[in-house]
Amino acid sequence: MSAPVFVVDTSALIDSLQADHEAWSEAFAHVQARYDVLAPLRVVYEVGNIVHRKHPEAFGKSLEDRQQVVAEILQGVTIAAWEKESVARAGEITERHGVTYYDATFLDLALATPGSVLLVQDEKLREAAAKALGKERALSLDHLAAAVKKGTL
Amino acid sequence: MSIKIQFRETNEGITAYILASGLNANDVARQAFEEKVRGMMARKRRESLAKRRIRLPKGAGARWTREERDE
Repeated sequence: MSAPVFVVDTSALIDSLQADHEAWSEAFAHVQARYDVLAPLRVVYEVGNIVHRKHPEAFGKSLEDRQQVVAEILQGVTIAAWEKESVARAGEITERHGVTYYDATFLDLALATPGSVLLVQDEKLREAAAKALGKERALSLDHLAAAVKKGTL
Repeated sequence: MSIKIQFRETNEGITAYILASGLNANDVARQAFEEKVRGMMARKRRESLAKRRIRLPKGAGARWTREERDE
């Protein structure tokens, strides 16, 4: 498989730092070293809210620790420029695929980026992405780790 | 894009010849530099996060992201 760009969902970004799943973090580092990794701006708010508001105890003992973790999670992720047309496109994706508008912003970025692959851990969004993009362009971290192990990425 | 480079030894030292059409030395150097930096950044991110030994519950990525998006 040849993929010049990866669009990463918040779910995959959070799971890529799991200490108990070294294959995931290895595979994600492999991708970051070789390909562009993109996400819509929303990823910053979601990662920030998960780390600082919803589950702070999981990410560090102090505010400074958690601020550093957020910076490290987002390191190497390029925030895609917002396009006016994406508003209507995401609306269509939401209604057509039955996902939330927030999910749709990630899927829209993948659809608007030729040849990109969406990395996502959430089953519902991955199923929608597989329909919209094709199975080979909607991958979980398990799929990614397997592809890296096989040497196809 | 794959780049083929041929090395030739001359009186002045070793010269690298870029054997690919449409590329010049600046393109090749820039591409090599970008790949190097990207690789270093990815490794640094992974090492920093690994040192923290963050252990999240199974399925945390999907579940916590879903919490952010569902009403």
